[in-house]
Amino acid sequence: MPKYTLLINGATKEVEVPVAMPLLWILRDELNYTGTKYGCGAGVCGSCTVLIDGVAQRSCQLNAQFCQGKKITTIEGLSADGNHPVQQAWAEMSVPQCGYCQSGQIMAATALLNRTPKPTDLQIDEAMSQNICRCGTYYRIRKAIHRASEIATTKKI
Amino acid sequence: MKRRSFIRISSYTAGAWLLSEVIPLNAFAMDSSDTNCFQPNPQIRVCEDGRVILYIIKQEMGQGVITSLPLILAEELDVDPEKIVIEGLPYDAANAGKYNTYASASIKGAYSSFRKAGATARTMLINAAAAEWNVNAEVLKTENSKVVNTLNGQSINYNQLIKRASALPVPENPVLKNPKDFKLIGKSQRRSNIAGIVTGKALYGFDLVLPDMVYAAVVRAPLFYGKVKKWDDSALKQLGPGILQIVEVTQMAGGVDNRNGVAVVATNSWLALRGQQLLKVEWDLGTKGLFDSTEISQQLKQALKTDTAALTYDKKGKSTAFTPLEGANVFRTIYEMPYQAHAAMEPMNCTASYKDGKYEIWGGFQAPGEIAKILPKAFGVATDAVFVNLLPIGGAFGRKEKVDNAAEAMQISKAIGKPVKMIFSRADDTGNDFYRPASYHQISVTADKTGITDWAHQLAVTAFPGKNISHVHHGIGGAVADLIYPVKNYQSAFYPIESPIPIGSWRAIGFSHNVFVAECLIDELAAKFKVDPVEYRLSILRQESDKYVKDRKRLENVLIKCAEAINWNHKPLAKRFRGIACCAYPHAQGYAAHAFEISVAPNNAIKIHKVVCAVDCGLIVDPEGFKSQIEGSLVWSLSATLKDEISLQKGQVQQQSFFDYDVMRLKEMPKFEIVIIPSDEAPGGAGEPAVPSVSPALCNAIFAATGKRVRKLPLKKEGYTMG
Repeated sequence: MPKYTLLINGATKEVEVPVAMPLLWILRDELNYTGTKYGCGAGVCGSCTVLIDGVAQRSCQLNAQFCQGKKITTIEGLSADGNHPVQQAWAEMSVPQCGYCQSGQIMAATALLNRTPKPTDLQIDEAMSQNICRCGTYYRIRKAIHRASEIATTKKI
Repeated sequence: MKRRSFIRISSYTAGAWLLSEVIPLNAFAMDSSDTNCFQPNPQIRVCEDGRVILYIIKQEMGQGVITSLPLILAEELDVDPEKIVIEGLPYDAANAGKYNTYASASIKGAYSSFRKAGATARTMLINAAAAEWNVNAEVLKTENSKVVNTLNGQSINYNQLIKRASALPVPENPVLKNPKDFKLIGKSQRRSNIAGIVTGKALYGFDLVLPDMVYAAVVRAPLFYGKVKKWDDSALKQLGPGILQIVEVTQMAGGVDNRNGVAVVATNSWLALRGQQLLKVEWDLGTKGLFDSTEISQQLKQALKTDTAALTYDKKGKSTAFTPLEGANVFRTIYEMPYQAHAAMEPMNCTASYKDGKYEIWGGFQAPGEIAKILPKAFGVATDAVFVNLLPIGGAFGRKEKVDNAAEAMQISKAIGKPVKMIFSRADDTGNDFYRPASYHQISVTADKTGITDWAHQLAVTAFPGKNISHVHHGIGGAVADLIYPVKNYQSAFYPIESPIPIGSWRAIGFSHNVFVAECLIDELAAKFKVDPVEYRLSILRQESDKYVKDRKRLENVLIKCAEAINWNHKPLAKRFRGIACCAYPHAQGYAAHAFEISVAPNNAIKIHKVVCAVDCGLIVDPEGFKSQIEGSLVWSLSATLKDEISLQKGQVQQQSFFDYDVMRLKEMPKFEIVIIPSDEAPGGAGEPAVPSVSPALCNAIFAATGKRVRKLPLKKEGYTMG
């Protein structure tokens, strides 16, 4: 099996995996980053969303070859202390219910705020509508993204 | 004195009034730390290291029990809720039924007992301080984990009173707080497990890793009655040595209802899933249940015409026969609803380890009682030879009451002699669900603008197994919730047909059918008699009746408040139309009404401008958690109303994933207002009561906009789209 060097949450990880093995399962089964969730395996639900060089991507659709030389950020690496503005806002707004899809939601929201620090409702709708939540936390996700934007702005000042 | 003897003393003294209806006695055996603790009641421990431990028996699946239940204790005990350490009670086969978590019943069930537990501990701590200071207990009060002397301000922390309190008798009837003095109940709290969720550390069944564990995915028979003929694993060679073993899985009866299949065991999840795709299995599909959805629909219609009802009800309860209403004045109408899947975000999974004749399993299970009842028997072992480690559930909605996943994992682990995590792919989850049944309803009524005289509801429904209708949730007054309005003569009749696919509980159970039917019909009658639909409902609800809803006033009230919030008595803007519906959910003591304001373009594109829900579930423990449930109910129900359907071709489920079983997305969610009715009534349940009235309210709005009645769901299939 080929060997790959991956940069995950700032740490270098060597893995020896089949060429076709998706990043999702490399993270979960090889490296024990289980915060990234399997939801559909087809890139439809968004539960496995991670950041690749700051951009939200479906880890079930990427392989190690593609990810080499890129910065991979998972939910575990979003902040050292759980206090990233998006995490703070998620807690303040009591977003999660069962929580299973929320790693993906949080990573998608983070990517949105990276490129659009003050998103409108419409921009949130567009960015977040590929992430499914069956508990129905959508209203809170929208509010929490606005709140995270505020927190991020205040932190910078 | 050593810790163990403390526990013995307190368990002995508590024995007089154990809350055994709520908590199994093995709570006493809990031994999680080496600090001295005082356990005045099986549900709680107050410890010298400052912790208050609360044992929770209900399963967390997103409904927030681990947030709301501790609040109730913290309130009566006067401790900071953040100081409460929540521990799930380990599974106890002898009391497993008490762990079952469904029917929106957790808060309703725990409210009194947790209050009493808190008040008991508080009273004993006060008495301990009174003895310590040699003062009258009446001059003492509690606040923030302290007993305070109101005369001189002297205070002592609870954790310094543990030894003394342990030696005191347990009061039989501790005085509860006056709800007026509540400081925590009714105030929103941060969710207890939030830090774990937002950092990805929260562990679900799907995430479990055991030493020496292997992974498995099962190729299941495409039909429930299908059998394995043979399989060919030659294509799996390309996956290399990571494919460990191929194991046949057999269907088990007695309520397990897993399918026959072949498991691919591998060194990681991905290889197991790839192997599952590459394994070629030849099936003996048999001859049973090879129907298309259109045929199921025909069979349901036919059953109404030709079958004798399997079960009938009148006002008094079960009756002997159904008498069709005849005559020119009879108003007759039909409605049809499809199968629905649960599609929780965490697909089904289970980890099992078989060793020395015993099975240990790990996973999220709504109904541990079903594990105890079904699995030992199915595997031919003693009840205590199956032990389950209960994990948080990534969405359940009724699906995770089943134990098919556990049986599969147990079989595989036994066959390979290793711990195994068996996972469903999304397609496995969609195709091997226990579905909300499909149903066809004919309702015949005689009515006029003042009320309803006769009501006869015939309900044809897909049943499982065989024509067993227990899963259809009859009872609670006939076709459950079909009638919240007083009528002179009531009848309901059930016509089961054998379902080719298994059925099970689905959020809001039979109410999701029957409230749709009843609330659309009442709207039809109001239109027929040219009466305002809100006025029509209210005038009938206010009539004398001996039937059904205990507290119709609460239903009236949500209807009125909902109408007010949507501005019912004032005309909407041009081309906008409104619809309303209500639901009484009596066993959870929940009452809800929804109103929609919509417009419908000539091409049948629906634009939802606003939705209102007025809801009364009694006293609200955690308002934000409560609102989350009402928001979730709208999302859930809109998915089913607008988009979702499980359809069959030759008995096989056609849908696989979210691309063909699509659900509501963030950008599709309409403006939503929740009106909570303030209430001093005992808390009811919030997870389900606000699900059923969504569909009829929207369909009644569509009638107002178009003059067309929606007879069949989902709307997408009837030619409507979201504008």
